[in-house]
Amino acid sequence: MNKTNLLIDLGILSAFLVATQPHLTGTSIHEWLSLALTATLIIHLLLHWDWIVNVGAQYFKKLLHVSRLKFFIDLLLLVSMTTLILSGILISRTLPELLGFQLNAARSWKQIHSLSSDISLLLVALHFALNWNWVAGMSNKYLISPIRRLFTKKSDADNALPLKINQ
Amino acid sequence: MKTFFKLISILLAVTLLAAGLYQVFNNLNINLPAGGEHQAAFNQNTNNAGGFNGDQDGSGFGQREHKDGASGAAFGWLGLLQNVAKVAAITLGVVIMQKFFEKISRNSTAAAVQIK
Repeated sequence: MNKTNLLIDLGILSAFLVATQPHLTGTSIHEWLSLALTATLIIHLLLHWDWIVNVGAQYFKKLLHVSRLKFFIDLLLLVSMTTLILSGILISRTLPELLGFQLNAARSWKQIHSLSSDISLLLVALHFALNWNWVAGMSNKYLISPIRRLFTKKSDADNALPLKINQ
Repeated sequence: MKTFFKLISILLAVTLLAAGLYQVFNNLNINLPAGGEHQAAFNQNTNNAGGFNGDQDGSGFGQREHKDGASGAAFGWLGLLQNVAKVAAITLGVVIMQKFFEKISRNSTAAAVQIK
């Protein structure tokens, strides 16, 4: 389960960073990537639902200050992401074209989209930083250690070869 | 109910990913080398490759959007690197702060034990 969480989380972070640069991908890919990201974010929320419920229930009771800060940052991130997604849908060009309707959103939505993107980036960075110990531990367990083990086995095999020849 | 939501979300994600990939390949097809009458379409696409449509609303938000395709892509890569650097810097700062506070709280606990 931790491995799945790690892969999803790293995928979300990478996709979010790419999605913040529509200049790089083009509007169409930016919009589809952001929609896929929205769906993945819902999965991320569902996978951590127990934590949300537990911390939410004990927020004003006895709770570790780090968990309280994490919950607060996550709440802000939820608001910011929701604003980002909704304003993105309102100023979208590809989706209305595909679905056959036209959205005449006010110009200010573009500014709101830009502002919420900047705020979201900051909050995502904070969210990532506050969970760094978990990310580092799991990355070491599932990504770095297996690669290291591969090289260790290979070097062991290389060292063992001359011995066999000598024998 | 949770499983149902998970299934719906996964289905939604897969559909969107497929649609996104379709869009990518669709764009790639348009980007194929063009000549003659296709040149205009190619040029138009190159200008829009970075999603630049000018500052249509005059709000100033599109200031960065007055770029052509090539320099726009470079601008995009630069922006991506900047964002990665921002995330890395914030992570480093928060981790250092956390370690610092952990050390302080450990020292103060040790001092309290010594006083007792």
